[in-house]
Amino acid sequence: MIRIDSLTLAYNERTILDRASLHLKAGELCALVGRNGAGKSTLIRAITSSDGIKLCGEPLAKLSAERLAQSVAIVTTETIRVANLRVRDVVAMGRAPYTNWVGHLQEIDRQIVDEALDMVGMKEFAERDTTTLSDGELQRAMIARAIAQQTPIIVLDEPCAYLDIPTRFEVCRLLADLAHKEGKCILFSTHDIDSALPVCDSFAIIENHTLLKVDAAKASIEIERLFRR
Amino acid sequence: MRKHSAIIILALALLTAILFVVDIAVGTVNIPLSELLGSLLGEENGATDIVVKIRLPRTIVALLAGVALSVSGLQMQVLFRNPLAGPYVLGVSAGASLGVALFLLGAPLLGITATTFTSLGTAGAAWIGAAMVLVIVVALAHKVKDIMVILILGIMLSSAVGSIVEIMQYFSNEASLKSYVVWTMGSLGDVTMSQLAIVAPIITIGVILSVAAIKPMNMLLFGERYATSMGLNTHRTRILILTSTTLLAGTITAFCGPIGFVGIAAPHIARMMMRSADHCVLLPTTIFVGSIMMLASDIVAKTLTLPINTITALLGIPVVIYIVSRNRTL
Repeated sequence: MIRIDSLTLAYNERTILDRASLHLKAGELCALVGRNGAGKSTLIRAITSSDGIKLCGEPLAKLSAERLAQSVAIVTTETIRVANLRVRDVVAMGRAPYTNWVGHLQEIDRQIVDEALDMVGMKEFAERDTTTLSDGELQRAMIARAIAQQTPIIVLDEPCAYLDIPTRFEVCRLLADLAHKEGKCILFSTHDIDSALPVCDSFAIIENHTLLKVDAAKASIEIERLFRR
Repeated sequence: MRKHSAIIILALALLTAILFVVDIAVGTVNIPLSELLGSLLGEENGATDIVVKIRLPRTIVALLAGVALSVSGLQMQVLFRNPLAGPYVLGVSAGASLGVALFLLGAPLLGITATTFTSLGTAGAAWIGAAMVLVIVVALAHKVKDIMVILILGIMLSSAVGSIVEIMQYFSNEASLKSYVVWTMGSLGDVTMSQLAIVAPIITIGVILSVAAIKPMNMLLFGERYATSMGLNTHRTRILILTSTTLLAGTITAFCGPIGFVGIAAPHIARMMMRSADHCVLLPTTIFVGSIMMLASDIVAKTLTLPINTITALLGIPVVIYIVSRNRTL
């Protein structure tokens, strides 16, 4: 699904990632961990913009903007609070790659939006204004939007940031369900190993400009080896 | 579109039509309603000359100005994700005023009187000034990644141009200074029918471009990164919106002078009325709210014989204060 081969990312003169490789398959949930400034967000960003990456077997450079939007959905750390924008509107925006030039929703689109809302447990919040939501509720709405985009791949940049402990576990469980039941390939960056460990299939660890992928079973030992001083 | 949105838009359209007729009826010469409607419907009577040649063009200009300024305000607020953005944030009015200042103040200073430059007229000079700003901004929009940089550049450009204009004002004689100051106060009455034949099609093109930007604007509510991830070509959208705004705001400013606050206030009134963030609904509502504001301002301006800009400011500023005090997001 996501195939990164020998990718080097640099910011000005500074190398962030050196010849990184990462292969993720359908139905796999992978947590991306590393220090602040290690390049997690840069890697997440590269997945939708760097030419050396292959998504669903196709090189990214060959994908049209529309095909790319139908292949990868993103969730960023940016909070979207717009007056009069309801949760339903947020999720419906996920249908943008499929709707016509004014963004008209068909019956099937509405059904997909309802299902996505249901999946993240936000059905009762559908008519709520985004300015009235808590961080956790907003994050779930943004994940529902990514679900409604119906892409085989979802990448999330710190979806658990700003969330309280129970909500972190909840979001991780939701991501696990999406990967394991819906067969989506999901990569998310996090600093919260505790909520990621029980649900993830693998961990991608960035340390010293290198990217290392380990199975969840070995993740805790490997993380401790790399980061404990 | 939901039913209640459709009803509000219909009511606004009706109010626009009523104010359109009232605006024609108001003026220094009292014209009976029957004669007024008669001459509007093509009948020849004593009022035909005043109604068709003077009042109708002015009212059409008021309507077009309302449409143009409010639509460009809406587009700027969405593009820059800033509730206080308006049609002039890019420096469109600054560019236009530089053109006019060069024409009214600079040319006499340099002793230029009857050349090709002076035959441009105030409007031509203003349009060239505004268009030059567009060229600079669009060229930057291609290169700059962060849209906020464009906003800051627009504001800086405006201030720099403002200083240049002030220098010219400082050295100008009283007569040219007065004509410049009068231009900055705005006027709807100076546009002739033949000029209207240029203004109306340009505004129409600007509005058509903004209709094409409905879905992109909805996507931009999420910011450029999300919008791109959902398949939007943000570069093309920037150019589309910037072009539309300059055609709309640039043209109106060229012919009527800078008219403030309608562009900032109308989109917010539309959002408050509709309680929606969908531009399918907000665009037509904004168009009608802008038209109503301009027509109403023109009626007041004509009744009190005041410059239009003073009225739109007094009408628009309370809305802007309300927005700031409520700290509204878009």
